[in-house]
Amino acid sequence: MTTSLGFVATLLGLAAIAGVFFLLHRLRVRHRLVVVDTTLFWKQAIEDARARVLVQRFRHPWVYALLVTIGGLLWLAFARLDVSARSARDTLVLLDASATMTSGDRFASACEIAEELVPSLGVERRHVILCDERPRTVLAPGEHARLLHERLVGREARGIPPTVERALRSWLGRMRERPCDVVVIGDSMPASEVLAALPSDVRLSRVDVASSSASASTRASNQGITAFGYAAARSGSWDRVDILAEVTRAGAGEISPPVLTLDGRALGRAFERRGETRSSGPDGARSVRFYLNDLACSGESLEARLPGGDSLEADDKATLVLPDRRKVRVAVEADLPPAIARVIAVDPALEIVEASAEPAVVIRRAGGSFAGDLPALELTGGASEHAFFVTCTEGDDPGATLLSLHTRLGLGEIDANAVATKTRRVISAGAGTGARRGIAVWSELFAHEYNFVDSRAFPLFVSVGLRWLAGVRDDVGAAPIGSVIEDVQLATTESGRTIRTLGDAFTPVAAGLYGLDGGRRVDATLLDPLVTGGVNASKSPERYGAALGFDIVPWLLLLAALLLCIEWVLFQRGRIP
Amino acid sequence: MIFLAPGYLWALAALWLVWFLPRRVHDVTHGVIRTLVFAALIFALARPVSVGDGARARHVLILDESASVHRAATAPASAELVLRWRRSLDAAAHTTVIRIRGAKRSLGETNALEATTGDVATIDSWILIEPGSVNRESSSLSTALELAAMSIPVDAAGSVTVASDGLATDRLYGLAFEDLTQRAIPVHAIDLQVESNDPRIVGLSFEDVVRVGHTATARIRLAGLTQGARLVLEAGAEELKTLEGISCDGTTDVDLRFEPPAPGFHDITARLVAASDPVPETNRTVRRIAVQDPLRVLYLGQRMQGARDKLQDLLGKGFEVVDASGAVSDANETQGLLASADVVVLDDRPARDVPAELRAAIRDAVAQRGVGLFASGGRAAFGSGGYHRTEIEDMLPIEFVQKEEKKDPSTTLAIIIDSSGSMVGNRMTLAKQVARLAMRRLQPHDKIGIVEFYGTKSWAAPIQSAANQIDLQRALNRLDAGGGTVLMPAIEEAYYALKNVETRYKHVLVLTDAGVETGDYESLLRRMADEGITVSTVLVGPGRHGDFLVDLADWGGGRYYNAADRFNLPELLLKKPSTSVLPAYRPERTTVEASGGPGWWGDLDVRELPQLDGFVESELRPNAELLVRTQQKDMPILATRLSGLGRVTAMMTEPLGPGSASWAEWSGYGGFLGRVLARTARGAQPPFRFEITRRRDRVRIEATRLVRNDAVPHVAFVADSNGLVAPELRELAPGMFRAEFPCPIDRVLELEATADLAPNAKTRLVSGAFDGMADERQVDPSHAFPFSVACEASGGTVLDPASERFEITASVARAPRSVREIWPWCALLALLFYILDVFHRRSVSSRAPTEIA
Repeated sequence: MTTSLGFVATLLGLAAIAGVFFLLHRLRVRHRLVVVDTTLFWKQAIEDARARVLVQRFRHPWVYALLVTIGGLLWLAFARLDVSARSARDTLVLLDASATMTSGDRFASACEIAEELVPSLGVERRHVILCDERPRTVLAPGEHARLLHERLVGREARGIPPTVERALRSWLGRMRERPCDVVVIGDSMPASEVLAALPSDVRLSRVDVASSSASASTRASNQGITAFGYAAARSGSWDRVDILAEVTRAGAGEISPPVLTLDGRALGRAFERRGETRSSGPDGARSVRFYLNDLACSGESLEARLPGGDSLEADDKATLVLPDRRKVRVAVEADLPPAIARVIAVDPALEIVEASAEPAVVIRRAGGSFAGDLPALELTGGASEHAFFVTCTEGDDPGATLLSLHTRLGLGEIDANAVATKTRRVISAGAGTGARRGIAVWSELFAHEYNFVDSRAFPLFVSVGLRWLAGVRDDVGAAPIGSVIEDVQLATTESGRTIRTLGDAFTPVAAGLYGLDGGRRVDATLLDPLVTGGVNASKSPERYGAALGFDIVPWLLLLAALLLCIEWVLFQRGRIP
Repeated sequence: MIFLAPGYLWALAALWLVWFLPRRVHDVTHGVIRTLVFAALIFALARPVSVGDGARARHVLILDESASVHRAATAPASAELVLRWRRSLDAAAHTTVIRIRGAKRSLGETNALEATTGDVATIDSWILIEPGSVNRESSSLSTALELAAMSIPVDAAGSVTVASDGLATDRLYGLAFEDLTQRAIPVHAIDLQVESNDPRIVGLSFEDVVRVGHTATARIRLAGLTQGARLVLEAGAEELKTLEGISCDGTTDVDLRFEPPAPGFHDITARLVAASDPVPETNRTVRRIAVQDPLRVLYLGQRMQGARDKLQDLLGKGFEVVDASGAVSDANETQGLLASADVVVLDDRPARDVPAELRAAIRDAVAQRGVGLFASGGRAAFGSGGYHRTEIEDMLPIEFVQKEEKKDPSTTLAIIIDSSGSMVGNRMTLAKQVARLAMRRLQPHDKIGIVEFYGTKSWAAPIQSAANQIDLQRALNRLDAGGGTVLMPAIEEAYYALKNVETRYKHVLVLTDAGVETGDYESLLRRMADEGITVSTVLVGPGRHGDFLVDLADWGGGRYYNAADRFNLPELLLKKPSTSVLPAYRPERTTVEASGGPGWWGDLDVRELPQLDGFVESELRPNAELLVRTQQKDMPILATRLSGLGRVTAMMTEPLGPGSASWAEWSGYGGFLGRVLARTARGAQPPFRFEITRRRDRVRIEATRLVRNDAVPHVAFVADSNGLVAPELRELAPGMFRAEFPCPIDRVLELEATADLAPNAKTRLVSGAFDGMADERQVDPSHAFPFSVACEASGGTVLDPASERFEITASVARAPRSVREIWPWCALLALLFYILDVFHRRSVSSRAPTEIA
């Protein structure tokens, strides 16, 4: 039991009310003789002869009790008495605004439930978090419940995976002073492992959001895309990728392949259907994987859309930015060792262009200005300290970059001992940072008297090195919302907002196209089998209590009103003084 | 003003009843008071509130009090910092202080700060960050930023000030920071970092694959200032590697190469021993690693007894040698063994003992699955083993050199010259020239004898070495024509002489003008032919018929020639030279030297290899790499090349046989052979590359398919999973599988990953407790929170810790709303009216009638 005034102040107030009424109650009619000319004036004489002085004797204790009760009720209402058991516990309300709440009026219903629930919780003990792509507080402790309504106006559920677990994890990062109730309003629930690992003083429950039967049945047969990604073509073609799309269906019905469009144009190629899997559980959703091989790509946007539609639109479409597999344009300064050009000629990913033809990478002698400020493979004189020197851009870890490139460039395969013996110099590799990427190598190493050009590592060195300089990556592409993308310093949203990761990985939290440093782009899409299959909604360990909450104040006021009426009637009838 | 329960307002319409029920009110004042009581009560029930602008800005201070924070002498204490921060803000602002504390700080200290600051400043809310574990000090700036973002409701104005050294134990603040910047909430910073010279270990990492028996590398990052320190790498009580003389000023990476312990999961401890170290407890760090099983070697030998055990002893525990030498005839068994092999050793086994099906299977395994092939050869295999034009030869990095020996068989030639009178003049000259021609065709190791007949027979030159050309020429020159022609005795003389000669060929050449007596030549000559003595005849001079001589040659198994004049001298075929293949194996002591980069040899000292005792001559293929060669003639001894996805290495001697007998004495031979086999097997990629990462309590396992088939990966916990279900890997892109699941951060996860198409290829995965989270006082300085970048990106400012007053700006709220409740005041009003009502009922009337009339 708590009040907004505090326990002592409330008690003092009650005592004061009792005291005041005690004093008023002892104001009694003093007997005196009033002469009336006629009984017609009897009533007036009684009215005029009310108590006017304190008398010594305390009479009508039940009347006093009535007065004090009415006064006490009004005082307790003023003091905002909270008698619910939750008053001693913190309550975290997590309002689910993820994809499953987009169907019909589920989110609006959830908001109504939250607004209904919150007033019954202790003002200082309640915390409401809206779990959309960035879980945010919509009602902080101490704030008025009305603000919840104000802050929820105009908000909608988003086509994102559930973020309830994330919000819960963040909130539980604090040291709790009191036990805590966590109430999830919506479909999402944290994973069972998270539930099992909750501290013993944290009680988690869920409030069902009512939905129409039509909506529920549609959800039961929901079909959505749950995987969509590309990988380098198994055929080995440099400029082609293989595509995978997985379609999941909850309930019975035919699973149809998605229709593909490339930059908005129908692709005209059909998926190959392979295998069907069923997730565990009696009502396990079924998934079918569709493959498309050898799709030529040069940075286009590929969209997969399921024909028809259902109540959950968020998973009916998925998009993907294909890699740009156009050849890397390399400008090569004249009079450089011909072995370099030979390697470029046989590499399907590289082509030699003139310096004026907008090359992406340049190969030149160090110190020259050939082809301008571009990522460059430079042949240095023997005066430089390191035989191989890698320059990465700000934000990259030079040591880690060198370590990674050491293997990829095949430097470990070079007979450095032999080269060192012949050159009579220490063969070493170094790394640093600069305005743009660069690789510098001693030009002497290209002479045939050393084993560098003839080694198996040389083609690797040229091909991988030029790819790295041009920022070409061989990564597979799939970007479900919430997936972690490493090695990103900066990301840009479609609206042009810049996101800095500060050394952390980048996590797209909402659907959309993101530009990443190094010229990469990812198109984040829902792709969540739990959302599509409706598995998450069924994982509820405990439903929140039948009574969403109990606010005693209106009842106090109503009781006071009732007693006032009774007291008024009794007084009018002269039953009480 | 709005009403939260406006329905109660309908009750106002019933207020008039006060005046008439249960009876009419005559005291108007009383009636009014009572009406006001009910009206206030109804308003209170209707819950009126006023919604307006002007919400209080919310400011959050993140106060890092973790163990790593070493304040400078000039920096204020925590309480002072909070006070200054509070004073810098508007008095009406809502303030929250989020404290990051070390796990070992007492609650008393905590309360002291709040009490100290609470006396002077009003802090609306204190939030303490729960330490990750009582066993692990941590300072999670990311959790603090998340809680700070949560402390500022959506649409409210606010700011976040971070007072920290930036050495957070994790770097997972990306999302929280993005949330703040997206809401334009500035992040201010008070940098409390003071450069620490305490030598400490701030990082320990290993290569992706650590395999038993193979050298692994541990990269240890040191920070601080030290000289002459010692770095020790341990697995339990076992010391794996020690490095002396470590110096560090700032941050230094040190690579320690070590031999991993047995296959399985191990806690590897890196320990820094430095003199005069003020905080020695920061000199130790532990990381759990997975040591993979040894490489599987499928041994196919034949000649050596106990070769498998010998090879296993040589290679050590990094390899598991399976001897399939006796199982090559069983196709199913060998296929099964091949499926689980990383490298196949074909040790001096002749091609005839490797069935064609097995050779094809090896070729496919190398080319398509990247299995390594180590083919070694001595006398049996590469010498005359018969791999020429086989699948194996096509893959080898060398070509066989087939040297042939030209055989010139020894011959004894008995020249019978007719020196009768009919040969006078030109014929004799011509006969001598033909004889000289015949003698010239013979080699010094041949033998020649000259018999003349002129009515009788005599040896002009007895059978002697053809090298005695001078004597033979003189004997020939001495011949002169005269006398009768009796050939038979001369042939008989030659016959008997040749019978006693040991040469490969024995030949009789008869030079005559055909004017010879008749006789039983046929039986003699046929007998001679039967005994390997052939007889050829030459008709010397013109004008005669050689029918008789043709018969003689025919009977004697030789040839008939006609030398009509000196311009038509015949080419005599006295013997038939032949060739034979020389053995390619050279059983001789040979000095060899190594080439190849450090990638091949690592730390192994191959500058002075022992001499070989025998090898097979070969030539290097153009696209092959030479690893060991003979010092003379640059003959390949060890060469390698890629073949499809795999690698094939050829060793031109028997690794366990007599050819490498001297190497067997070499202490580095096992390591040498192990490096070669390991490098050869490197192409034997597992079907998937597995990676396990952890972000707080979320674990992610990713599998990337490396082979071009439809293999599907699986992972399973190896130990008691304590309720965790084996995660199911989902294919997100062709060949890319992922599973994500929650797991407490202090829990060790040990898994085994396999692929359905290669169930024997298991990969151990481990995620140690607190992986991804540094120890509180061992945070890599290069991973410090970038204050300036964060402030610039969010519109905040880097504040001077010594400043008395901080310039703290707040975001501009989009829709600052505030709500004031009116209804409690309505309830209070109702109470007051009610008291007034009671008082009125008992109050003295203004009138004081004593008489009513």
